[in-house]
Amino acid sequence: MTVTKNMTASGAALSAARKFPPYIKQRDTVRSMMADVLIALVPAAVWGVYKFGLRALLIIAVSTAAAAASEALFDLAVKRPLSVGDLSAVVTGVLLAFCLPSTVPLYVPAVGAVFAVVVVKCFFGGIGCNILNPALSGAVFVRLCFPEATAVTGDPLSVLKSGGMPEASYYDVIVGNIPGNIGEVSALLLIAGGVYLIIRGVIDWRAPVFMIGSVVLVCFLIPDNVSSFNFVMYEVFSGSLIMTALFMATDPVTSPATASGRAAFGVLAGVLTMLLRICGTQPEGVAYAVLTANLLSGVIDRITAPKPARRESAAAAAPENGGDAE
Amino acid sequence: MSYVFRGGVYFKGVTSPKGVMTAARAHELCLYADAGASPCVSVGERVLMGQPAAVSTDGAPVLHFPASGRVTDIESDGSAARIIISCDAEDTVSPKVRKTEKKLSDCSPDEIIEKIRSAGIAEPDGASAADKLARAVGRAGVCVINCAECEPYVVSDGEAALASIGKVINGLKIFLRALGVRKGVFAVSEGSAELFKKLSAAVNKSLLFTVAKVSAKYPGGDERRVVYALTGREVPSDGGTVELGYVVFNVQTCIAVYDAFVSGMPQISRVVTVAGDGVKEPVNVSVPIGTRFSDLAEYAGGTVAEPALILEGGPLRGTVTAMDGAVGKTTRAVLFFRENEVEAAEPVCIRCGRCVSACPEKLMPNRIYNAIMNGDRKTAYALGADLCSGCGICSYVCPGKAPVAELIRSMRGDEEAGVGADETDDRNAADVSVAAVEKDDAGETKDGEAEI
Repeated sequence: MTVTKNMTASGAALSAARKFPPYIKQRDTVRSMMADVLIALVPAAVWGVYKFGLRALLIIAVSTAAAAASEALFDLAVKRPLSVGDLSAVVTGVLLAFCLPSTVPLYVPAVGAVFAVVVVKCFFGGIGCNILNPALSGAVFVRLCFPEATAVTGDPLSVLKSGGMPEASYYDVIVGNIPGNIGEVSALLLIAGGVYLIIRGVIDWRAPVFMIGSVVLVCFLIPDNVSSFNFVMYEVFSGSLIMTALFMATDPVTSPATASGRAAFGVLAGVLTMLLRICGTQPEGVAYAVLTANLLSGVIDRITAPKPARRESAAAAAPENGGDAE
Repeated sequence: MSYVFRGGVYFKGVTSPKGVMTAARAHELCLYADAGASPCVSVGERVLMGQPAAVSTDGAPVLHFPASGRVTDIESDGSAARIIISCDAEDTVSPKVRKTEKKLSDCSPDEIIEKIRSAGIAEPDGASAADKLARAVGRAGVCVINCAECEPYVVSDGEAALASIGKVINGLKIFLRALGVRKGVFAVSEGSAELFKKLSAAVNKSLLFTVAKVSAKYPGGDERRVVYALTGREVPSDGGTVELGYVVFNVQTCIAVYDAFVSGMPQISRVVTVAGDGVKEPVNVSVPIGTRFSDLAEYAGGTVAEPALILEGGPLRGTVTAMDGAVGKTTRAVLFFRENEVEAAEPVCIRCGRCVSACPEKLMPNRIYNAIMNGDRKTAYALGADLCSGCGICSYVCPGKAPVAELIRSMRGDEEAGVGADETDDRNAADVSVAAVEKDDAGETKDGEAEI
């Protein structure tokens, strides 16, 4: 009831506001931002398909179709205007597929995408209202539901976890010549996409840079049987860190809105990642780290909120010139 | 060296007209007397250039006839009034308009202020320049003449200054004399290199003046941003620049003050930018107050097509107007656009934070927007909705096309008009006011202290 009432009230407020300036708006839209994200994901997707075969493409397609269709069906079911056009569900679908190995049965990306879009996003009010990153939550959900089907073996992080020494060269790790999930292996192409988004102003550099930076720092702080530099290379460039840091930790909806908040968010996610990787039972911990940071981003926003300059005392409070005129 | 304020936006790719053209003689002028001013002439009366047209409640003239002619119509709708005169070709000047006999150094501050008051000179926000000056006496140590403007298209102030450098410099001398201070600053936008060069050359030998550059970023021409550029100190969002010892006057005010002091002529004209894709040849034109917007369009070569949107002022702060409107003392620009940008059907906030990093008042517009959309005005004010200067950047940069600035203005307009909040939410006491919120905050602090 309250929701319907508030919708009407906000509708009235919106129409009352229409008579005020500004009368120009920047060209960017949510749709154009999401389209840019998709463009940035293309190189890594191409590499995934090259490396893992056409089945990788099929998984991306199933995941994307399931995500878009479930958002459309949800909107139809609750009689809301269709929001698929903003492409955010498509991005969710592609990112979810990127988190899965190419060997998963096709129902896995479908289940994950429906969960991501319907439960994590639509149930919370659709775009802008979700608390957790949908793609990441979907990936975690299917990993919990289908642990065997989604498991990756032989990737450098798993080898490290089992106490072994990975054989992949630096070159292989950075280019993506290693076992892993479809979209996560090619660190190089993911970074290229991330740089594109930063240049286009779609994402902020702080969260990924601080996240990866704090992973590196924590790596150097932890004594390990692997010599430090090798250890850092594997921790940073294999696994999901690069993709998650560039494409999930930068999700506008679930990360803080302030600049310093994004830095703090990155540090938090990076440190949690290493704690989970080192102390946890699983080789990978990036997803849980970012989801935990997602939960805290509202708090981080409040703590890091910029302080507007208010008068210090009411003594000077006599209304002088308005100060608004140019 | 100037300090660059936080936030703001550079507008690129908007070309603005250069130079100032003088308008041809208008046949008819339409003067708007604001609420609180009443016409002091009657229909059919012959009026002279510089003669008072309307007086405020305390008898001070606030509006003068920019030309000689005959009053053809006076319309009044209770508060505001409209006086229409048909101009003759004589431009007979009222005998009351007299040159100042005294030298500036012989005038007392009060005499100068009185002179400015009787000339009815207004700042771009509509405030009386005389009142502003009178309040600054003894409090401001520096007088700033603001030639920096920053809204796209609008260049009337800078071009007006460029066209009358001498008047600007002597106008500032008048301000300094009235204030009894010896430090004057011209604030020029980084974008206007020519004005900076000319002013610098003109003040070269004077110890009284400096010329300072301010950021070309919007809203770098705001008084508060100008003072920040000069001092690196933030002017409180709920306070004025005078609190930091700076008083800022618009450059067109400065020119009007010079004219009023030297020739005795009240504020009867101003430079207006006429631009937008709806006119053929955008111009800056010096026109008498009361010039109709349709005449302005003619000065700019006529309209390309029936304009879908006519704005008085810039695109970020202006107001929608129509062809039959007329230039007032606060009209910086009139913009004609072929298309009216359509609002997104479904505005959305994706919390991207662009508004947060762009807000020059250091607010979090996204949170204020969400509070207003939830009908929670109290939270909106607690988040600083009262500090919003209405620059409109938050709405401009929003990829979700959320009307953030519009909602804040709409809400504050409601408060001022005493309109209640929507009744759907119990949290909305209809009369939540800034004062009430501040009181609440104070109360909380006190409680906290008591517990300690």
